[in-house]
Amino acid sequence: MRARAIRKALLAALLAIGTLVATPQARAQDNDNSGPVSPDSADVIRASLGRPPPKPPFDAVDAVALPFRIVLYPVRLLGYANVKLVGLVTRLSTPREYGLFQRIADAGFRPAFGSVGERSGFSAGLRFDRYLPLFLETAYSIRGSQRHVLGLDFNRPLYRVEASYLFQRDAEPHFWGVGPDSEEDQFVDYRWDRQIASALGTLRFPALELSGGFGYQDNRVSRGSDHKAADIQDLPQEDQPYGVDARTKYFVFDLTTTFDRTYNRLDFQRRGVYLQLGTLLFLGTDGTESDFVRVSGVLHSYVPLNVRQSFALRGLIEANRGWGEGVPFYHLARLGDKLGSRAYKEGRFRDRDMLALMTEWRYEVWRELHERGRVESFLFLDSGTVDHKFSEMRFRNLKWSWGFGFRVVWSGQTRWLAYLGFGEDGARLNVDFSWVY
Amino acid sequence: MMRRTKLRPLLGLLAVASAAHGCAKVSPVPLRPEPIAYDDTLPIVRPADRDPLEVERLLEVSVGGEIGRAFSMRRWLGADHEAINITRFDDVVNSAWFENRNGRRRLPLEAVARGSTTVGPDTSRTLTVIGGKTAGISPGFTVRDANGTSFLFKFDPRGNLHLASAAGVISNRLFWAAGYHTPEDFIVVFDSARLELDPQAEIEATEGERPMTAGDIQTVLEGTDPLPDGRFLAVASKYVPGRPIGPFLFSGIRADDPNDYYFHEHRRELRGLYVVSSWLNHVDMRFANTLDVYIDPPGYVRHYLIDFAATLGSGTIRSHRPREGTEYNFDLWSSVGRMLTFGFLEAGWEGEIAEEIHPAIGWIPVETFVPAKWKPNWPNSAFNNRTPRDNYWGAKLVGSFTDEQIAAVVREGQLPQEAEEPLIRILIQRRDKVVSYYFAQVTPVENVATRLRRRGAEALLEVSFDDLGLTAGVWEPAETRYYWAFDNPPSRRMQRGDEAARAGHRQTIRLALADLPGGGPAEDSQIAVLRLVAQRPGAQNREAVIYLHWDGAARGYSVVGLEH
Repeated sequence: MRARAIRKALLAALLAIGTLVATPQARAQDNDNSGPVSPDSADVIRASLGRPPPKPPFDAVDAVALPFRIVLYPVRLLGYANVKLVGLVTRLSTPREYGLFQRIADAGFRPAFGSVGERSGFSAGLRFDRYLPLFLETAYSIRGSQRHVLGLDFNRPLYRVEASYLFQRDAEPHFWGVGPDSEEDQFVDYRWDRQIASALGTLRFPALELSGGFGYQDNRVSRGSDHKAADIQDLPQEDQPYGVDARTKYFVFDLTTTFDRTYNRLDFQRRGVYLQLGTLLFLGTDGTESDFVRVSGVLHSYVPLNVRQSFALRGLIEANRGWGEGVPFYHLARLGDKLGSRAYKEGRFRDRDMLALMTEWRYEVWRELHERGRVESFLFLDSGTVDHKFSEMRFRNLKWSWGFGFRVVWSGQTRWLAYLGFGEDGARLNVDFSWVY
Repeated sequence: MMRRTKLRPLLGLLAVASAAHGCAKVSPVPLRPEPIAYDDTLPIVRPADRDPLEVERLLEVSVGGEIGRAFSMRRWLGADHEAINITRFDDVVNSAWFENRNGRRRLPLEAVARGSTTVGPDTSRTLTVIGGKTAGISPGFTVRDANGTSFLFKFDPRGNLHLASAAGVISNRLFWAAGYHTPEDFIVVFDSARLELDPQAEIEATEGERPMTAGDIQTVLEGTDPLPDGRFLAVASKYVPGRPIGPFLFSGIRADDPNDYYFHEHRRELRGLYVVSSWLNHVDMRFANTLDVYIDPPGYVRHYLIDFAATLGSGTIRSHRPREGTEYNFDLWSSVGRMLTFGFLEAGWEGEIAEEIHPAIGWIPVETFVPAKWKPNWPNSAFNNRTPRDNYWGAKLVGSFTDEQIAAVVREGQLPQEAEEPLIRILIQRRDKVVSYYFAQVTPVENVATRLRRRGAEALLEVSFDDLGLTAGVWEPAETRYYWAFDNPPSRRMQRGDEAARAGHRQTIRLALADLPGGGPAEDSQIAVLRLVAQRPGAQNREAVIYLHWDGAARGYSVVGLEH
């Protein structure tokens, strides 16, 4: 014990010398780093110090817990990877962190990630709008879908006029047939390219928007890029709907009215009512023997119980009536995913008419301390159906979905959403970076 | 039955772990190495600057950390590791992290009130604005005074003059006096006409850095209330001497700092910081409000706590809300609870009404303040690893402040007179709550001394000590009784006894010894152990362990260790 005390006293004396150098007085007198203890000799001193271990030694509890730690290691690794992913996204969205990213943004390029159409998969895009009203957008997805827009956008508080040319390719949407009875495993795929030149004008009033426009649309269908699935062209001739082997061209006239009395409470709880009614008239041209009219309506209603809990409802209705060859299959009303019933894939059911009701019980799980956003959990129950005519719709044909999910709402918008839905086709997990209501 | 069979291996493992932990051979405290004062101030090569991404760290600790804690076998067994850098008397030595100030010897009132400050900004001459304030949420700018010293000026929110400035300065002084390193913060009053914009000044805006304009200064000043005479009040934070190299973290070590030896989550001063933070309601205690500074010469890293604007009743830009101090910003288990109950689970704070005590004080709970339930906005590993001994150590720091010291520090906040007294009362009441709660978790004895008296063949060992529970007035001597067990290796038997406390804080218990050792080296067999429990209302009856060593030359016992 005495020897230890002597050793400690010697070390303390040595350290006292180092400490003396650290005092403000010493600093004021001497501004170089040539004190009696250099970083190298300090290493020697440190190595000689008889200190407690830097952390608790491995003990019996650690030994018993070790197998559990090994088993759970992949979970920890997964968690670590997720944290790093969030970190990367955060860094990318913090211009200060990346000068290059900031310069790209300063030059007028805005990156966008998400999807570019039905079954596109993850997409990455870029919008260039430095010289507004002129803008250019281009995006590609991992499944080969594309979206390119060149346009002029005069966006003013009271009106908006937009003229654009769009090329859209959906590389491998699926087709399960027409009507409410199509089978889940009997799908075919196709590629749908369309070019749309259009002009649209919008007048804005308090809570009301009136918009009207016209355009020209050129549609082509070819074989899909999913080689595992049969193509729509392989269906027997008599089962092929209109639009499979014919290029269609339309003049399109659009008239839409939107009534919006929704608002956000505390930047994250949507309240109020939203109603949109639209009419689209498609007139075939240049050999297209098909004309049709589409009438559609969307109703959103948000009924809060309190600031944490609310009831959200979405009603959808769509009717298509045609002449001549009728409505091409890609313009039929669709049911599935955000269009009607969430346990079903997008476009799972198609026909001329569609009716759907989506309901959600939303409740707060977490709120950010400064109330800029929150995480909501929700339980949902959706139902809807399609048919040739509304009058032929039957209760037994309703496609029910139920499930639960999470939604991250930040600055009034849904930034991320995930849900697990259950329906006749089984369970379906979906992750989205934006949501319609 | 099936369920029982499946659980059996797990229960068996737990039993093995528990038994193994209980039987593990651990050296008694007096034989273990001790930390060495200022051993982390030896010269090193300057570590690299670092700017850890907060969201990553907060996610790790808020989700991963909380899940890990919930399923920790060590926690289930009650076998949490004690802090590693403690002395044989359950204390810490001075270091680049902490210097025991008021806890060691009570500081004079003027020293506590002055804190770490030296010379504040000269507001009688031109104040040159050299940049905008980029970090944090309070509005402000960087100023260089006529002496060439730089300060960060931060302002109170509109409608709450003094709120953040007073809280910042008061907490700064108290954290410093407790022992932590803090920057020099001053309350300043200045005439806006003395502000002059440096042509090189830049400000960071959403579109990136740009030259600062007079309009930017005006915007900041418009965000606060002027004093009745038209001048402005701000808190001026002096730039810390040395080179800032980024924050310190509450876990791990800084790999490029050879002096950073003890893992932070096992440092007593960081674990105990929880208790001091709870007293001052420093809910924003996270790594972003810490700073490592390289002091050259001689070249070592000193660890600072910075920015105390979100303490006491201040939430920096508004008053504190009932949620703060009660629930983490992202509280995993509360969130899970709400999820499973469809949002119907309501936390206690949700029904609490937070009426400002005074616009200059904001809101800080007293009656509803429960020290052990207090939570900062974000969890951290050091706070999570706390044991009753760490809490007691922190409570000793809190309890070291007298009413007079607290009043002297509150006056430094330059609050309106009608706000001063309530805040002093609040701090005193919260201090008393902290002290009485954590002192009840241990047997709070300190300054143990022994005296051996001989009566013929018998020897009487008198062990005297300060009972901080009596010193702090938490209990009366009449309600305290000491139970002890003395394990004296030569006698090979355990002696037990009990004794009532006497008047006064210095207490003595007497042990009649049949055998005395013969001396020799300090080996396990030569260390006598006295276990002492102070039994009184509300106390947890956790024993204090006093280690005694027979000094053959002096023919007496010396106290060589103490555990609470």
